[in-house]
Amino acid sequence: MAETLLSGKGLKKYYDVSAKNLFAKKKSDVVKAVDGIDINIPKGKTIALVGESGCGKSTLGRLLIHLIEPTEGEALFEGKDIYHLKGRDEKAFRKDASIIFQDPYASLNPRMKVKDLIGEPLLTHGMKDSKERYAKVAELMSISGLKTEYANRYPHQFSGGQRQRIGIARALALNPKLIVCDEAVSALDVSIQAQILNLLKSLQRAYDLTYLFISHDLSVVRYISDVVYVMYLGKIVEYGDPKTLYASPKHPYTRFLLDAVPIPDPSQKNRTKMIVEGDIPSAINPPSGCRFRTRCPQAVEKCAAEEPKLVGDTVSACACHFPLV
Amino acid sequence: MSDAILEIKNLKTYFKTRKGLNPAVDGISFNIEAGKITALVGESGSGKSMTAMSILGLVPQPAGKIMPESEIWFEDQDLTKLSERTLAKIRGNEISMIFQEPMTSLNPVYTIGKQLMEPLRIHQKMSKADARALALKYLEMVRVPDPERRMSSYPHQLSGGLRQRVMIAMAMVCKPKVIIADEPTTALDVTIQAQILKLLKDVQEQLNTAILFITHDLGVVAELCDDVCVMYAGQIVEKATVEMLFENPSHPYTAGLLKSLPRVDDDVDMLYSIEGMVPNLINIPEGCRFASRCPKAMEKCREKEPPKVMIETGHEVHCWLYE
Repeated sequence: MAETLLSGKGLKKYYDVSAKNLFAKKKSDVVKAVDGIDINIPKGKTIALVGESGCGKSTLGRLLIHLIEPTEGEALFEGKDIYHLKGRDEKAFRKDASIIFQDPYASLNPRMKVKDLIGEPLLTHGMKDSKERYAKVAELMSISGLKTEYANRYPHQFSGGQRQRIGIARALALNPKLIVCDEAVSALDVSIQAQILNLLKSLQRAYDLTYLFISHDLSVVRYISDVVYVMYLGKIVEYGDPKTLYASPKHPYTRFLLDAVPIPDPSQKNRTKMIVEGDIPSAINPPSGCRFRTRCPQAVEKCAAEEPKLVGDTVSACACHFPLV
Repeated sequence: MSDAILEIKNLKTYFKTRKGLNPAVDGISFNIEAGKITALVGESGSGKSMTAMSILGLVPQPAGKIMPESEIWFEDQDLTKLSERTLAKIRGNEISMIFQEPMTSLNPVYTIGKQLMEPLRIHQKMSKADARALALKYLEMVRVPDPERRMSSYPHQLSGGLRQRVMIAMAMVCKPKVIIADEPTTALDVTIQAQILKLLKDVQEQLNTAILFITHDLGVVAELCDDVCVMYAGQIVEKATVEMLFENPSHPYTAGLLKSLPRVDDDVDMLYSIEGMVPNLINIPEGCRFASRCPKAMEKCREKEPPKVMIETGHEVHCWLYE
């Protein structure tokens, strides 16, 4: 196993959503977006977080690069607790960890030229000399597959795929060690998605990058990741390497999730697949015990009474009282 | 083809823009057959949604225009030549629609029940009590739990999956001959998408409706549809049954698209990727629109528009390779 770059322990993020109205009944409503998660991100690998909307995958991604404060827990980046960094150490961490967002339309300032968008992190981190900075910008643009003559254009003059390349160039600007890709290819068309996925893969090889890849798309995750963490309502329900996990999922939820993915092959149209009933419950008052029990066909009393622990080793684990064989 | 219920012939929908004429849909022809699900698949900007809008007479005015040579035949009437009033009687009654975003297409200030009863009251002049009874029946059919209570709920009180079920019920309630479903599951989570697709298939089989299913997702096409039209830059490039298309994708665009899909059921080392991007429709290149991205492009491809070639029965490809 490769050495650990970043690890999270007991991470929790709660949001207080109780009514602040004077006349409201005194009742505290708390969204438990991330509820006690341990995660280990080895150097040079791609770790994927998958799950449906509202499962807390983006919140976890943001916690892990300290974009938001945790309610509880700690995260160690190269041995240092990222939530208590000060001064120079904090600045160094910000350089080492960056993020690519889902929506390249919303994440780029429309009034800035591309060269300044990509150059902004460089400026912030002290590259004051504009000649030097623009030379670096040009280099970043060509690495990300953008024509350097576009440096003076504005974001609206680019297509979605090109905008995502700008986002990638910007994320790469400070030679980071870790990049969080938050649904980085979800908004793109298939043919463009393939281009960006391949770019991310080749950049990883060239610069020894570590990715935390957040996605709802299990096919994309299988292609890009080394370890997959499956999340449901703020918890990790299962993790493992994609090959084994996809072939023999242990948690019923993972199985349902995989069965639900449409396969582009009509000969598999009539394969046996399980379709899960019902909707994802609210994260405000999640079900007791196992959170998946309300939709799980094999749930019994024990599932409501006792929360299953994540059982396994460093390679794979599953949180279910009655794992599938 | 005698059992075609909707015949689209040489449909052209153009848009006037400041930079020139944009041929969003440019001369497409295909049929929709009763009891079948026909897919219209393509990437963003390929003109698939605008095709749906053209069929329903909902092309944004005044910028958009269906060109005079276009024909859309439905029950011996050319929909493109009908007056707005006659069209309004067909729309939502004999041809209905399911949209992508159920939150924006349901009216937030009316209850689910009222919205479900509306087409029945307007199109079929039903009494309130009858309409209510039928609406309830359809809510049950799309398996909305506790339908009685849901009749008096507002759209914001329902989850995305439930809203889409309501949309399906609403589209079905007048027993239309054709349903146009525009990316009906794209905004939903996969487990909910699986539920909705199954439901759509079940209901379609029960009522023997024809569905035009618009999507960008080839997985969903393989899973659900019978026939497929692949669109690229406003034109249909390949037309076949689902089995033929996935077995033998013949247009270089279709083949490239299938190879660039990451698979949940297989390991891929390096994805194939189609270079470049969709051309700007305002200054479309001469010849084949895919030529600039096509690995097999010949000189001829850049000069003349490719012919429509029938490579096997029911499998049409618009490409010079098969001439």
